[in-house]
Amino acid sequence: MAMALPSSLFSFAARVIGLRQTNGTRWLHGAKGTLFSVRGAGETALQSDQQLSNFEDEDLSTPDIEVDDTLEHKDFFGVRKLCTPSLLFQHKVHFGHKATSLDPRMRQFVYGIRSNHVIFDLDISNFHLQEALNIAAHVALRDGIILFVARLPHCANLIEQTAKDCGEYAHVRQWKMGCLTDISKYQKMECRLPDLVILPSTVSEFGSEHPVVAEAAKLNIPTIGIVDSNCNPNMITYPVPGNDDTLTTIQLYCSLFKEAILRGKAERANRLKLLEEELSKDQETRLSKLKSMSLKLNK
Amino acid sequence: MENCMLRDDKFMDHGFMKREPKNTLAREHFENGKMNSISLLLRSNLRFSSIHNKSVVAYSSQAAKENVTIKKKKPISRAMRAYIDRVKQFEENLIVESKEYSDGKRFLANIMGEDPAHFTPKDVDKSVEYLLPSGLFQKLARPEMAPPEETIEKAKFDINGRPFHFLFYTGASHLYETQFETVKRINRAEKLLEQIHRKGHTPEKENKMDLVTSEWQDISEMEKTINESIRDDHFEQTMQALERLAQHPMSGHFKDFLMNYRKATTVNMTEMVFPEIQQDPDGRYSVQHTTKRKTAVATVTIRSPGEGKFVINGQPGLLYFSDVGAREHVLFPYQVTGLMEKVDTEVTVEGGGFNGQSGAIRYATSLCLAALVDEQGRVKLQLAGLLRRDPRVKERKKFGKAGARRGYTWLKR
Repeated sequence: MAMALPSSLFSFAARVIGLRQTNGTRWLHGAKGTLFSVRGAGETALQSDQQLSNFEDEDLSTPDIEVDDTLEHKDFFGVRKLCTPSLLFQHKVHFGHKATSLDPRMRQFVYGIRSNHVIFDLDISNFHLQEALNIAAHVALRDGIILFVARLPHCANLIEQTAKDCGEYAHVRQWKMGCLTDISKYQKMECRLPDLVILPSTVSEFGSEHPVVAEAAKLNIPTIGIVDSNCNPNMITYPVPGNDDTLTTIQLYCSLFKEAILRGKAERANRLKLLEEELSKDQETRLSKLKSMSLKLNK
Repeated sequence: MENCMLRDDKFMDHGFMKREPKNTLAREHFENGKMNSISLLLRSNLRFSSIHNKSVVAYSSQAAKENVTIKKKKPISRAMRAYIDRVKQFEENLIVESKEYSDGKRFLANIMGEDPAHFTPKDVDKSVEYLLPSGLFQKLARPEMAPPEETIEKAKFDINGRPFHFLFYTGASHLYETQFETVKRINRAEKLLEQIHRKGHTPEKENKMDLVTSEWQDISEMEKTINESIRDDHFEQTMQALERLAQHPMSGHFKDFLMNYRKATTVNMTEMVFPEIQQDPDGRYSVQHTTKRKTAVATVTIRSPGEGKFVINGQPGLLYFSDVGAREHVLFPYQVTGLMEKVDTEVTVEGGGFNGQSGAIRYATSLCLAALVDEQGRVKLQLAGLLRRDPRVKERKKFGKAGARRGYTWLKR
């Protein structure tokens, strides 16, 4: 279908529709009533409601917050207002690599070529970045584990600091194969996998694709990745076309994602507080009922 | 300047570059005129605004907030249940194990005929060694009894399965945290230095940390400090970073941090035993001490105050030694303490060669002088390495060799 359309129509909107149909996004934007799920903490989208009921266990049930209402809102956390094309331009997001290294799969995000360097279309980048920020905030709201992965020696400290500041996790060191796919062997214990991987740069130290991209794809972990003009965006759930090695650019990404995650967490804390209040109220009423009953019995 | 964002005609021809601004702001500019919008974007005097300074619209709309529903969520995933089970099991295990340990300890104390209330873990080790003697060479293979807190690994996650450490997924969290903290401090030190340079000053010597009185921990000590096993290459990386911070002109600001990974070179002086000072009938103080070096034995008597008289085996001055190096050896402690012509010395030395004899005299003299000087003088002596017995001795000759290591000359058959 897309082939039959004139190339000018193979544009932004068409790509957005295409993106929405990828595996990672289907269960988020898909049929109403589907839970936005967080691996480990919640359920995978593949599990139907019937399967869910099998897991019910009265003893293990813990009160948790209800967050489904947030999905109906287009920009619940207001993170889309955080970034604008002009902001991205100030932080040099539009600079790509040399035109000779342009990956054909990145052509859709390119505005043009100047001095033999690729220039990204910042309207497109901005849209994808907004989408990514929204997802990050939603995952944070659902208590998902967010892992920052990159192989940028000059930004390693910054990325680790960002992860620490927003109470999430970072891996900017040498990546061992099977760090996620074989985690029980690697960590010598069973442990929870991350629910979202954020890649400020998808390039590994050898110039090839970072191995975490393949590992996360195998495990169906959604990824947010800044893809430069020489990268492959196809394996990444939420690709954001943009410059991936300038310090100011990485600083921008880090501060934006930090803000989004902190907003998600603040909302979570808010709702947990409300839940606690409600639970204590419930208990009070139950206690008062018990009291009245015992009084009646004594009489 | 304005042309730099214009598309190449080449791409126009190919047709994959047509675009329309989707953003409303950009569209407004688009309607006003494309060139205008581009020039707006490309204004050279743009200020790099921090995103935090931007006014941000309240993020959850009122309508959405009113809809907040709170429910008790029942279903729990398999993975989640596994975590909760494990945490519960761990806690139960710990209670059982600690009870077993305290019972066993009491039992041991009764067998050994001691008071169970004052039976320490050290006593437990002793009694286990006594009751279950083992001829196994490896200490790890011998029977032992330890409290469960030491043997059982602590949980690394909370009840939701979230790891405690922010670098958990790297597999060497504490080591990488050390590197992370070090690099953070290096960056801060650079900023401090820049401030000083900007004022036109140079950093004072006091800003640099004193690296003489302490040295770096080795790999096994570092493992204990961060409570994690370290690979050799990781240790080298970390040491490089730490060394860079320590050598920085502003390293004095991060002394507390660096001292976590360093150990003091000076032993606690209060623990050291020095020879006793005696008072002679003529009113002078005298110290006598006997030490060894290689096979030489030297007895040194120092009298204070004196005129710098020096007698070795009845020979005045340093004429006893024909070797200049040996003479310098003997005089070194006096140079360090500055007592060269303020005390009288009498030496009896026997055995060994001139090197061993001079070494033995040096060690004995240093100890005697340390007894006479104050704390500061002792530190000087210690830093010069004079208050330590040199344990090196001649290596024995091996059969099949000309000496300890040297082979016989190879003859062609």
